[in-house]
Amino acid sequence: MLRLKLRLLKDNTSLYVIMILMSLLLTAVFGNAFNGDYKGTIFIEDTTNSVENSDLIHTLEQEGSFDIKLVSHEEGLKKVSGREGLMFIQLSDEIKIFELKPTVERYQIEKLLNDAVSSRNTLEEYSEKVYQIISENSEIAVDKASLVQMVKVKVKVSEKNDKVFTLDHQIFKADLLSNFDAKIHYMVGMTLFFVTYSLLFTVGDYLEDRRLHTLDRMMVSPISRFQILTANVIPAFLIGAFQIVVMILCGQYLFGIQWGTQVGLILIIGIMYIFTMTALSFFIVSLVKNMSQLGAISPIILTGMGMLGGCMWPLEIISSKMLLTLANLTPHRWAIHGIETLMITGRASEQTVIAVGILFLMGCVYMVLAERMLAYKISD
Amino acid sequence: MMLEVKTLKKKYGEFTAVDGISLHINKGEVVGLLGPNGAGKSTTISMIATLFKPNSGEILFEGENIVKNPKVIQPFIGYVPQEIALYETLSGYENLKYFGALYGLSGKAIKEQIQRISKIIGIEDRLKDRVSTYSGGMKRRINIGVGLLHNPKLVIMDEPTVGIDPQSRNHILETVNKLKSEGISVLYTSHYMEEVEAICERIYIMDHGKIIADGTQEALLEQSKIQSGMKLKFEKPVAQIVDQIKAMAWVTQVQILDEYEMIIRSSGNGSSHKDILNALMAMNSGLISFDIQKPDLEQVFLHMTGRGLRD
Repeated sequence: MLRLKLRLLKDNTSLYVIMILMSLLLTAVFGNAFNGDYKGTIFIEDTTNSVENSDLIHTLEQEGSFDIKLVSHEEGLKKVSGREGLMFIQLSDEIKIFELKPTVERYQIEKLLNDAVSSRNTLEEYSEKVYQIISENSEIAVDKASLVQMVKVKVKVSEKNDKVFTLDHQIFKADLLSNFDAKIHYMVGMTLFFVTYSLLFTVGDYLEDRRLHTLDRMMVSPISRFQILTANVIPAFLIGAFQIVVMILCGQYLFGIQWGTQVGLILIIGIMYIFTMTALSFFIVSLVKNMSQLGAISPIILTGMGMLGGCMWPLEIISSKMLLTLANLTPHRWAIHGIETLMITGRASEQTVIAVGILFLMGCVYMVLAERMLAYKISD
Repeated sequence: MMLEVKTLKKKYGEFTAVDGISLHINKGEVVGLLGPNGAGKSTTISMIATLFKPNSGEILFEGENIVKNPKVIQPFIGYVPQEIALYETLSGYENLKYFGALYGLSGKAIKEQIQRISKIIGIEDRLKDRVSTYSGGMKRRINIGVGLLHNPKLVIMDEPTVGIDPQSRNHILETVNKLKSEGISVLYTSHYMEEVEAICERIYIMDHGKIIADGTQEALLEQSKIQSGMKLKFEKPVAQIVDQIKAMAWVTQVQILDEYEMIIRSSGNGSSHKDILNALMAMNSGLISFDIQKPDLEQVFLHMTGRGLRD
């Protein structure tokens, strides 16, 4: 039975190649769209003119993602109100961000500010430690302010030259959700989104068996309903798993996407996601009567779930509790979260286990629902 | 008794497709299920083939109730659906191989079976071609071949000759006769009474989900008491002589077909035909030709339901 299904896949090889290529292409286009020349303008008011804030502004300018313009408070608010820029940032003893509505860039700038402030705080701590060590263990009189300044300069130089040590920004991150990287997010989201279509197409082969009445032959043969189900699920799962591996590897080596150091674990989450989506696809197939119905409802379901699950935009910009609750019901949300966590932190964590566990559980539920629905339809 | 069906019932909502039918098939027997489209034949055999579950009733295969345990019968049933249930992108050989694998056939066993079955269905030389390149008749033959691969004890054929040429039809009927000679039981459904008459030992006639008559062809004809008839063609309009014909002693029924043709039925045996013909010649009726019409299952069905099998 499985061999039959794998043999039938051969007839659609060219179609699968096109689907994978299209997915790769679109993922690359979407991903790189967030890496283009366009720079949104950010207006900044520095009320303190302190060295720290100057450093912060300098860091933002160096980063190069945004066009930074220094303005007065009134001018900044006016510019943002007139939609001449993305946001207005007031740097005083604290940092305030003014914007008309939440934007994707908001999370990117929050990340940059967070990183810069974290680095600065670490340097402060580091300088303080150096001063303590010197003053406690030496009889040389040291001017604290000069020493701190010297350490800061030295560390900055070292960081730039990448010689003495480098600051690992990631370890200072307090809240992962605020560490948004648009390119990573869209590459992950789009990869997971596009793979669902070829899955549903392959699982839809079951409907072809119904149309051809070859399913009747299977049903009257001694093989079990479970065998029929798995024979349809396994090829879809293999196609999906192959596609996600290709997309991750091609993304890394062709488009220069940095999936981080945990590609193996990312693949595990990806493959678990494929299992869940295969089961979900089968559940969708069990609800419809033919390929036309499947063709009509699948874009609605897949695109809707992709949007809800955060493939198109980060869930961090969603404020509706209802939408966020619904997002938790989609496999996309857990896969994206799990993969992004791995990419950003570079290590397995509780989030990885949760993502894999929830995806597996969802897959099992969808599989049982699909089996029950098919059993009901067949016996009727 | 190989198969026994007792008061089988299947409903779809308010519609009763099969309404408490009972039938049986003995070992090596070819049994026909005859009825017009929508009579409930396909639903009945789908339930016997374990495709649908009945709402009530029993299906016993060699004494075992297969409604409760369909696995008992599945290895021994060869199911030939009405539709061409094949993968058109695969060759005939691949279709036979993959469907044979559903019954555990593999390796040398499947190769030998494919060779044997392809001879029976007469399609050896085109086995390696894609099914999509086959004619309708060839597809039907492969469709039957798939149902025979695993040496079933009972073959269920649902209208296996629909939409094919006379040559392929004859080949399929010959195949059924071969199965019969090998001691395989066949349940054959059709709305072509000629086929059922030609190959079936016993016949069940179905209409509106019920079996309205059953028995051998002879018994059914005897039960219905249908008289034989003569189809007559005249050179002048039949209206001029119809009253004289109706007045003849042996004539019991006159059916005018068109301006020059009529069918007459008579009481008594074949000698009445001779007497009628003599009388027609004597009255200078202008008779051009005649055709003796023996009663058949079509007329039995017409007699019982007032409708033709293909209405």
